Amino acid sequence: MSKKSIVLIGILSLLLTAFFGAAAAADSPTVLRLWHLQAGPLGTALEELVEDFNSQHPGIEVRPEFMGDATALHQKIMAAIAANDPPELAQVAETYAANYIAEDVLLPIENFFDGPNGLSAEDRADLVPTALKIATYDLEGRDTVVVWPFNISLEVMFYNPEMLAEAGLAVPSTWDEFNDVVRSLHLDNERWGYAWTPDVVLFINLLRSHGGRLFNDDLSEAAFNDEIGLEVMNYLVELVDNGTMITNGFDWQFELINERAALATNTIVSKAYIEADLGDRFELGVAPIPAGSKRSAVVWGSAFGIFQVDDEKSRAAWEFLKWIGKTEQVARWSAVSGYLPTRYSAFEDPLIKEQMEVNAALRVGLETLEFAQPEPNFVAWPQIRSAISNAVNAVALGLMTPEQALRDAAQKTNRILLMAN
Amino acid sequence: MQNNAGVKRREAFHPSPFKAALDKARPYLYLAPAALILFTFHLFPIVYGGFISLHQWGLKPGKMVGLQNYKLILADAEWWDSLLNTFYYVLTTVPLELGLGMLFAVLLFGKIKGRNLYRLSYFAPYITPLAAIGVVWGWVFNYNTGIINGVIRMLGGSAPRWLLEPTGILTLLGRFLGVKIPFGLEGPSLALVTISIVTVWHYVGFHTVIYLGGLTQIPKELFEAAKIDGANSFRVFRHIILPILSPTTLFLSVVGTIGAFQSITLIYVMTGMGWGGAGASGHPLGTTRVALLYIFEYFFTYTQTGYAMAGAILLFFIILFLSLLQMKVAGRRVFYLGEGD
Amino acid sequence: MRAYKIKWTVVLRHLALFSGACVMTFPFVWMILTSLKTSPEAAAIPPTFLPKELVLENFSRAWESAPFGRYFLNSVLQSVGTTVLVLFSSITASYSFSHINFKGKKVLFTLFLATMMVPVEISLIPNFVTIRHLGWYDTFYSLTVPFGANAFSIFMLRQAFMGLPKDMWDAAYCDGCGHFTYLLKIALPLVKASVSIIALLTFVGSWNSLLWPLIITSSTKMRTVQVGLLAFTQEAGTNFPLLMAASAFVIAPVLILFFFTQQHLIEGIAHSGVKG
Repeated sequence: MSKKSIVLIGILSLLLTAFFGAAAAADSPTVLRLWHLQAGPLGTALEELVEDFNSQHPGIEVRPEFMGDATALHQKIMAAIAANDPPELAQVAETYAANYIAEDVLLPIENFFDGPNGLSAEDRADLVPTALKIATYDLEGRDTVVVWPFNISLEVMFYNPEMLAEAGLAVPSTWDEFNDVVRSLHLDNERWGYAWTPDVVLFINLLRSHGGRLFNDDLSEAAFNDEIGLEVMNYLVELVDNGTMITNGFDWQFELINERAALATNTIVSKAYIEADLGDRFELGVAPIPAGSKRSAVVWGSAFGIFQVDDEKSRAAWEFLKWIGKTEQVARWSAVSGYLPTRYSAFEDPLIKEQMEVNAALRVGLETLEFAQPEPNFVAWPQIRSAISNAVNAVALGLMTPEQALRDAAQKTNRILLMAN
Repeated sequence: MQNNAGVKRREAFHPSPFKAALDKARPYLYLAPAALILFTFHLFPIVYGGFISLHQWGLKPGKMVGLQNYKLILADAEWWDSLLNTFYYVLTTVPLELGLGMLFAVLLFGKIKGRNLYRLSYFAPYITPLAAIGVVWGWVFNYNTGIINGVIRMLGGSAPRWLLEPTGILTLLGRFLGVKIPFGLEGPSLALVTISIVTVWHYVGFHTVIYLGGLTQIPKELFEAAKIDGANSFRVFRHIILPILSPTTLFLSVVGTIGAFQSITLIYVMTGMGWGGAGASGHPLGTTRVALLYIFEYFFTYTQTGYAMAGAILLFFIILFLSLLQMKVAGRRVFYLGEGD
Repeated sequence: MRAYKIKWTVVLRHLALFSGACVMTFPFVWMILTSLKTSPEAAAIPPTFLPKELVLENFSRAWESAPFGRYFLNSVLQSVGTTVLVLFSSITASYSFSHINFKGKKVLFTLFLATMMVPVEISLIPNFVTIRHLGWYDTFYSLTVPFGANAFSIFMLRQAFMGLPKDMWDAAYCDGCGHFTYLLKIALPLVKASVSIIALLTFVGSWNSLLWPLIITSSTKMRTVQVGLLAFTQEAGTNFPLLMAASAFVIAPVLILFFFTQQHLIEGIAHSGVKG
């Protein structure tokens, strides 16, 4: 090889590197890691959505990474924060969001609402208020939308229509009727009116629908240890005595499926799982959760949060969230996942409309959205939740009197609140 | 390294300075790979945890609070309950694992038809993923529909509530026998005992395999000598097998205790599946909440890292103390084949 | 007369072993049976024992629910890698603890043992930070190295080494045998049983680990089989037949491994002709 050609090759390669280097710099998209919780088929569905986003937005590349269940994801986020390297985007369960917010690791979504790429007035009116409420946290005394709602599920009642019809009973719409149904359908050791894994959710539902409250206004004390709370606990005792089967974990699903229990109350998302196991035994009935002096149901959700990252990344992250929150995507996600749409317009989408005609659960869900309320969402809530859950269990299993259990739980709650403040 | 025995021997008697240095460094060189990994990934975390435990620490470092977290945790009745549950859990699992493990190993050691298949079936539980097998055991012990209660009802007995039962096992036994059990002596809840049963089932294969390994250490000649002396099987077991297995037994009791202190997966899977996730573990009524589960809850559900780490440090020292105690007490009675003679 | 007596004990032993085996394998058998049922049948009360119709598709459906092919490869790499590291680190360390006298031995041994008392959950976050600093996140190193040594194996091998006759080393030493040769040529073959147990248990432990691989990896190319099992448990329910099918094929390789390792559990010192 001559000297000349070596020089030539040298210059050429320099030029080439410069060219491709520059091109690569211009072309390299903003990479956003998205840590999520959707396992199995839902995970695939989410990945498909993200792929569509990526192909429509050449400047941004969202990388979905499955992180197991909510606890595992939280552990990973904790570790990542300790290592000073949180993901740009993560799906956060309500339970943990309060912690992230308290420690200032999330960028409040509301900051983007009024920005140049913000939400239009129509957009805002279209968002389901309940969905926004789940995503709203107390930020230095001001209610702020901190995360972007993605999944909503709420408490509904499942029933066996054949069993009710056979006994000539109507679908209960109040807690009194509910109690009557439980009593009438109970056959000793053979059939139960209601299958229930004792938890805090039914207690909250009953308390709220009878006008009770969990806490006082400034969140300094428990307010459930009053006449209404006692009435609720007594009602639970009555339910158990009248023919409620106490189950463990998800076992209530089996009792319902095998026509050993007529009623159950749980999240609307359970429907798909029950129906998969139901076979051709009967047609599963879904109705709104019964009412007390007013209507109430607990609603849950998971949302996407943007972690504290630089402007460019956070803008890109918001771009993605805005996209996935558009009617088309919301409808698509809801149709595969069984979670409720976060926008009203999605209910009008052909995809959902079609489903609504055959799927009563969606109609029930839409109706329930109007009065559903989230669980409390401050940092100390999970701890208090556990205390109340113990009280409910003790009462359900007949190990404590309602008075005793309520007093205990209230004492614990007050102590936890005192420590938290 | 050195195949020439002659050179080697000379060196042994007239060590060169290099050789002397190597001899001095040798034990540490041999320890180095393990020490590097163990200290970095297994000891450093507890030191770091100790540092965190002195702070108010959620997701991020907060202010230093001294021993505040320790004071708080020691004042929490639930912490002491969880420790008691842990001891119950250890006491209901470890002795059974040791006893059954040794029994199975002795039965599986000699020549017997189908031995390989038997061994496989005793080891299988240990490798089965807990998430799947916890579900199956949940079905077996289900109050309403479980196979066990089915049999009990068929025989006309009253079916226990198993995983749902927070009442102490001694109280239940006392009720059955018509004896009143005084406060404080209730024993572990039936729910915890149920989990212990599944735990023993899961881990006994592990103990069996290690006992099998211990049995291979017994020289054939010993058995033959015993046979000539006309010793029966029980005497062979009592005077040969048991003493020779004593180091294995000590080892397994230490390892088993540590393991019992650290196992929460099964408890989590079998009692924590209630809807709503957070704070739902340790049911019923916290009677299955062992110390590590308590720590786990504060760590990963309530995100009170400083407080949780204080618990972790306390637990660390409790386990360390117990292990050293076991080795000290049992150590003197352990018989090593290589010793004496 | 004598032949009759021997037969009796054999029958008794078989009886004991067989009934034990039934209890031990029952949940396991149940798992396999459930994996062959339809969802509605798996949920039936009272449960059916044998599947009414064999749904073999559960296995193919389970296999396709996650990239199990890749996961299997990763799990094998992880488990083999960890096992090799553990064997190396624990053989050298336990030999040192059992055969050589040195300063600080007691303290070091206690420190080593102390590492056993640290629950994995506690070390999660500090280790994550360390891995980040090392640049090992989502790599093969983070799956193997942190568990490439454990006090359990060192402790166990030390017990085995201590069981070797003391005068054996003295004799070898006088023959001009150094520590390294002695360890490799004489001591190690004699504790073969313990070594194979450690290999087996390390492999199983590594194969079954879930939390650490989940936290320390993010891409499919590093994820392991246990992570794949998560695909069947979701927020409000579990697909039991698929979960059971997947669990069955996840444990199959370990069962096969056990079948081969167990041979070593009878060919220990008993056949080596060493006299104490």
